[in-house]
Amino acid sequence: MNLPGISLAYLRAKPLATALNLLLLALGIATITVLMLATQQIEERMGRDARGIDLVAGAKGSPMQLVLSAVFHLDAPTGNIPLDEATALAKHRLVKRAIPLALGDSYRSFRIVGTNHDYVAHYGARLADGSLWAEPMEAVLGAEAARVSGLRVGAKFAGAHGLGAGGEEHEEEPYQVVGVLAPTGTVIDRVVLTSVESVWEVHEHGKPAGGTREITALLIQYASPLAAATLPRTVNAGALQAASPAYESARLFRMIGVGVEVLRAFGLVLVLAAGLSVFIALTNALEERRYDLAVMRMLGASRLKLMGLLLVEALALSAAGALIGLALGHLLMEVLGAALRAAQQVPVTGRTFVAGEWWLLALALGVGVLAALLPAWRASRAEVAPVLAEG
Amino acid sequence: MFSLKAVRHRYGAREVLRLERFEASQGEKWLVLGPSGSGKSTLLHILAGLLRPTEGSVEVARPIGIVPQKLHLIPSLDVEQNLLLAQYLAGAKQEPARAAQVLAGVALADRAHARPHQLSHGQAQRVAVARAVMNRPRLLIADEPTSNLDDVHCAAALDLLEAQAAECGATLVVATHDARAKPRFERRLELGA
Repeated sequence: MNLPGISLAYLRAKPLATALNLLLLALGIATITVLMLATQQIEERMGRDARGIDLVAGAKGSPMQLVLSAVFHLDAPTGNIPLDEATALAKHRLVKRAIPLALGDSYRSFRIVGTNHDYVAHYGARLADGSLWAEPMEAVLGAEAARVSGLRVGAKFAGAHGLGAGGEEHEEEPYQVVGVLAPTGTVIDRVVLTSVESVWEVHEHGKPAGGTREITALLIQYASPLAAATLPRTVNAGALQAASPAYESARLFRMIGVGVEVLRAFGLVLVLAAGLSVFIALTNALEERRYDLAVMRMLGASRLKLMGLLLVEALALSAAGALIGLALGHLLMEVLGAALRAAQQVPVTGRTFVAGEWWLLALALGVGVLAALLPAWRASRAEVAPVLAEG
Repeated sequence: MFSLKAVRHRYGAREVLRLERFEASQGEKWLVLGPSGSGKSTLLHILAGLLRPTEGSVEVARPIGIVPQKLHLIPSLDVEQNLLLAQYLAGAKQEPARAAQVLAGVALADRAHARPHQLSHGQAQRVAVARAVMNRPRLLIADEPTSNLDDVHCAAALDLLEAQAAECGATLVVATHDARAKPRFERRLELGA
């Protein structure tokens, strides 16, 4: 017999009220947990995907769309750019490295990216099987693309026109898988890589359209910090458009940040409502248990012990609610992550923890203690003799 | 075991208790008699340390065991837990063996895990007595232990209190307005209305 034991006995004696309080708190904590897990993982993932890419040069249009399509492979490209202009930009003295990208096709919703071996090196990817492409129409699969498609080295497949499922298949120009990459935790896991020439071959049948070759974008690394000030303006002054992944990512997070904050506030309201509910439950309990509390005082309980009894009860309730909420949040995140992975979107998982979860636990316990303070103080001040005398 | 001298207690302007001297030695059995409103409960609460008298001096040997009129077992705890609670709240070491021994002494060894609502009134009263003696009190106080009991149960309740007080070597103070208890106590304090 101790304070937690007595508190649990009281909680067990009112299973419905206890369950409702737990549910309310758990829902609030779960909502905030999902948001924390999602935003942290997406930010980290986007940071990893864009690391080392200072600028994206592509066709004029929305700079955010350009970054989303060329860096994160999440949106449609803004268009194509002439190869000679891209080549000239790649040779600019302020450009340290420029990786060409030719997009347009996909295989089972995984984008086929025409590029060079620098792209593989940029993401630090290593081969799990086979070799990198050497000839046109040879393809290397990212780890996730290989896992989902089930293709192995030696297999052949036809790309489909467009970046989503259901596009017309280029059956007459099949790719052959020559390599599979090991997982990296970056965007390269979710693409099919080939040479730029392969993309040209599929779309131009060996003959350039209108006499000029095109690619979709260039991923550029600056030669010096000075380039950040001048190169984007230089690019934008010509036929191409420059977009900064860092700037556009931050802009994207500012835009979706409003929605995230609204949902976070909703979760907080649920947690505070749970606190209010605990307060009401304990205040009612105080009235219901006035004889019990008087008897406890009669049996020798100090005022501090009676305070402790209600505080421990609130703490037990809020700790249990927080832990259930955290578990529920992780479960929801895992379900959501599975759905996003199936749709080839940004992969997120519930099997990870973020430091902020400790703060969530502290928040729940704090709300529980605050909700219990007044009832606990009243319990400690209650007069014993009049209660026992009235029977 | 206890000594009350020149004790007065008032609720506002109304004096509810006036005692010049009330003293008892170890093992004595006292009956406090008086009608409702005579100050019996007030006297017991002062003896138990639950109420500080408006005036006078109080010296009581501890620990004290109390059997309240309405018994007041904690409904969310079982019988054994109610007994151990008395030790826990008094800051004493919890002894399940002592609980089993005391329950056997009140013939409730087989009801250790029953909840209060599963007990008859007689059983609940015995549990309340068992709880009061868990800490081996030097003073055992019972408030109206025979109210609403027939003669047989009245005698059984008083037998139990006397036996348990004797077992602990405790002074017994029983407060009642029930005249049936009168012949059993040589030492009596009669309070007026």
